[in-house]
Amino acid sequence: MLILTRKKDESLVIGNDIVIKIIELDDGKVRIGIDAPKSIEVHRKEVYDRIQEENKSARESKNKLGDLAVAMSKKPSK
Amino acid sequence: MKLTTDYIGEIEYSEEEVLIFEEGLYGFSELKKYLIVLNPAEELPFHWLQSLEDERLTFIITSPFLFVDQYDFDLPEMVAEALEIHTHEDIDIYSLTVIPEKIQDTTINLKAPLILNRNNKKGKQLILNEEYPYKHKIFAKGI
Repeated sequence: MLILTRKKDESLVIGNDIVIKIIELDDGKVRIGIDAPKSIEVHRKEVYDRIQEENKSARESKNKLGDLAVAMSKKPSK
Repeated sequence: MKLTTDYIGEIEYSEEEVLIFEEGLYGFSELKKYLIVLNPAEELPFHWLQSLEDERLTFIITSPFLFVDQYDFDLPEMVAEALEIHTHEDIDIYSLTVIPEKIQDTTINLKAPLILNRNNKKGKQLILNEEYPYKHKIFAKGI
């Protein structure tokens, strides 16, 4: 991993059209501004990881659909 | 065309039914072609999303609107463009379902719905900026 030191208001350029700017530093937190083309999706890594994880557990669900059908026939719920 | 799957058995389908997820689903980015197989049990609102490139990969999907009263989010302009969505009527929305060992803990993922253009069959899994849960329990009061 490339590691660089930046100060408040300094930026990085990634490729030709992504700019990452350090907006604010405060007590262990960093606010970051990202300028990127709309086609580039930016997500918090933990959100991205969590969705991958959810999708992976979703693939295991098919074998339980029969049980779910039985449960729903007992009591439909909203 | 025919596909023999582990779970659903043999499926016959036509090219027009094939859904294209250009970027795949999160965690499955290599797999882009899917088919929705409707549940023959009509009273059950859960259907199958079957990968056409990995016959072992079958998700369970459902309509989130059956389980939540309020589910509103903005469709990013780029996504509408990529899927060629022009009006609300073009869109189908599904949630992936997770059925754990304890059936009463079954959840649907409201944070990352599947968006489909029903006209051209292009789809995408969206990560919403809005605050929706990864795990929304469908049996609010237990079974």
